[in-house]
Amino acid sequence: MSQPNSQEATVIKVDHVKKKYLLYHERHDSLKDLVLSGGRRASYEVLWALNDVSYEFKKGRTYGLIGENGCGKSTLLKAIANILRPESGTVTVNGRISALLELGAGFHLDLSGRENIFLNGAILRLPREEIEARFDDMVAFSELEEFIDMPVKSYSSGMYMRLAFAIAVNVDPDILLIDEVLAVGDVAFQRRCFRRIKEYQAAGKTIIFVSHDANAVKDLCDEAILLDHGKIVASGQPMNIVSAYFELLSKKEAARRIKSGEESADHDLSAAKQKRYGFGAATIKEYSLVNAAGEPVKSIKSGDKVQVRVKIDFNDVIPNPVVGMTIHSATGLDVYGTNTSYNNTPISVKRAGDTIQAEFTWDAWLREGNYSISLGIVDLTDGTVTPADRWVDAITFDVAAGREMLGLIDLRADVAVTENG
Amino acid sequence: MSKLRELYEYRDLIWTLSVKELKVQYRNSVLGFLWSLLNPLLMMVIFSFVFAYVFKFGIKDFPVFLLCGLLPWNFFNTALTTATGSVVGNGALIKKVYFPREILPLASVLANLFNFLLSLVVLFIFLAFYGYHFWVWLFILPFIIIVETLCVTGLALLLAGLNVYFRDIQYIVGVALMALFYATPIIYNIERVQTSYWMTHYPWLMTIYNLNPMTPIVNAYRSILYSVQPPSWSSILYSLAITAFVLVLGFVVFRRLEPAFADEV
Repeated sequence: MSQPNSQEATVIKVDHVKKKYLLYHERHDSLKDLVLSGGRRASYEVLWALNDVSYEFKKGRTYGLIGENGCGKSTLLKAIANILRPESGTVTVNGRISALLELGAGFHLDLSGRENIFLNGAILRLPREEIEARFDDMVAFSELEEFIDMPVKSYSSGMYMRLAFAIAVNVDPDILLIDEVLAVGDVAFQRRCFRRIKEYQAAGKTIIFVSHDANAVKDLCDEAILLDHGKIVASGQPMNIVSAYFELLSKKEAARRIKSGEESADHDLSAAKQKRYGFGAATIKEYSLVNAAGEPVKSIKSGDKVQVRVKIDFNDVIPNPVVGMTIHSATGLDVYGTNTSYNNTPISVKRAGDTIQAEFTWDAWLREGNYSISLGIVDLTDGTVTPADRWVDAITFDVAAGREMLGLIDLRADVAVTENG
Repeated sequence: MSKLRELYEYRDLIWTLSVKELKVQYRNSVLGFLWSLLNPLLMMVIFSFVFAYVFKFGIKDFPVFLLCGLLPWNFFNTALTTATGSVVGNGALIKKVYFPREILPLASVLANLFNFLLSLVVLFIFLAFYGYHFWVWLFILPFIIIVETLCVTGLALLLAGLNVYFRDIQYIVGVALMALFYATPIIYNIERVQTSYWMTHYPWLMTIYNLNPMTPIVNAYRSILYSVQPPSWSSILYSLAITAFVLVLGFVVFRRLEPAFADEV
């Protein structure tokens, strides 16, 4: 993935953009209401969906917008797409934008699939000649050859989505905005989406997408942007931003708990360092990656047996402690992760002063490269994960080349060939 | 000006949405688009029965006389009715896709213009059947149609924009159009109004009556097709002035209201 480069051309410049929503206590939508209220509109609260947001999006890069519901990420996307006009600030765009905020926007149920291809294509700004040229491809892609002249209202929701998607993947903008489109559809559908996005990336398009899927952001983006309450709170390397996002979530969770009196307020949350967070009911005291001989290692060979050792001190009661580890690739992909719960190794209730050591032993059948391991001790009560101490990228190590292969994990396939004669 | 260029760039979409409106209008009906022709014909039969036979208006060839005013009026009426609800009705689209919002009322006007042009063909057949030499001044007709279309466009933008904020507009428009129908010389001759007791004694009433932009337009259609005379140029100039005013007002108001559409629909 390319590093930020100030020489790359800025294609979208978001400059001190503010967008507010008025939350009316009651709406005055009719003239009668307006007259009765003496010309005043109803009382309302102001909600800043975007509060002084500035960012420069560079050509050819892929950006992921993350944040909680209502943090302003969709609003930012709509402001860039010119669907919403900000109260103040400007959005400058160089290039043709296609916004896929909804698949099948403008579909009319009474029209046939064929007619809707032209309608939706025009709405997505596909020139008519282009739609005609790609029509057969679209129909083939959607696998709706027999149904293309039937009204869309007779389609199943799956058929509807396939048709919408077949049109959407044919847009050819300079800048592509995607809002949660990846979240719909089955696995095969999502894989197609990912593949298509990679093609756009290869073609040098600028992509901005909103996603709740941390893995998608880590896997696809050059840069991630974390929004909270209408402000950009962090931006940069996707892996760092995703962990900042989780940190933010857990801080909020902690704040909520303190507020509701579930947890004493004496844990200093602001002390939570970057990459390390939790409520402090337990502390990761020591950790190491050791080889079969028990010696700490930084470099291993593909296939080596290694062990992750984690020593944890408890400062408070944890009813159902779970210790876990996750291996990440250099690009931020989660290669493998497991924990004591998944592995059916329950740990009994722990109290202040208790200490445990957890050991994860595994064969490192990994492709050559750099990897990191995140560690964590959490409480898993009633299905709710409450991080006590999570340490992102605590361990880093590298794997020396094994035999040649594709992908990240060596599944050690046996290959047999039968030749005639 | 940049708005006009943008609208030109989006001409594909304007066209596609107009065609969609036409297709959707009569989808699932047996006679389909024939209703665009049947509807005014059935109206003609009813009005002719009431005003030519029951009330005995004594107008020569009443069905033809009526159609010359009724068809342009139907265009005005249906275009404004559909355009008024066009922005609100496409709220889902406005929240998800950018395009110049003017396209929505424009597509409504275009679709209804197409229906109107089609119905004119039927009128020509009627005129020929009754032996009218309607082709003598026919070359002026496109000009009148353009003036009416621009006037409708201005009003359509104004009403579609306002309706987003006050949904009452669509109901008011319904009633106002009904009143305007009787305030326009469609089922009667304008001389009947001009020579009436009230109008001759209170000339300011006539001034108000003349404010109606559809009056000179309907009269122009009728001069060309029914009276086979050139239309009154002074009244055409007047409707041109009104059209220019309405068009600018419509565009300006729509532009002022449009930025918040996505928040309001």
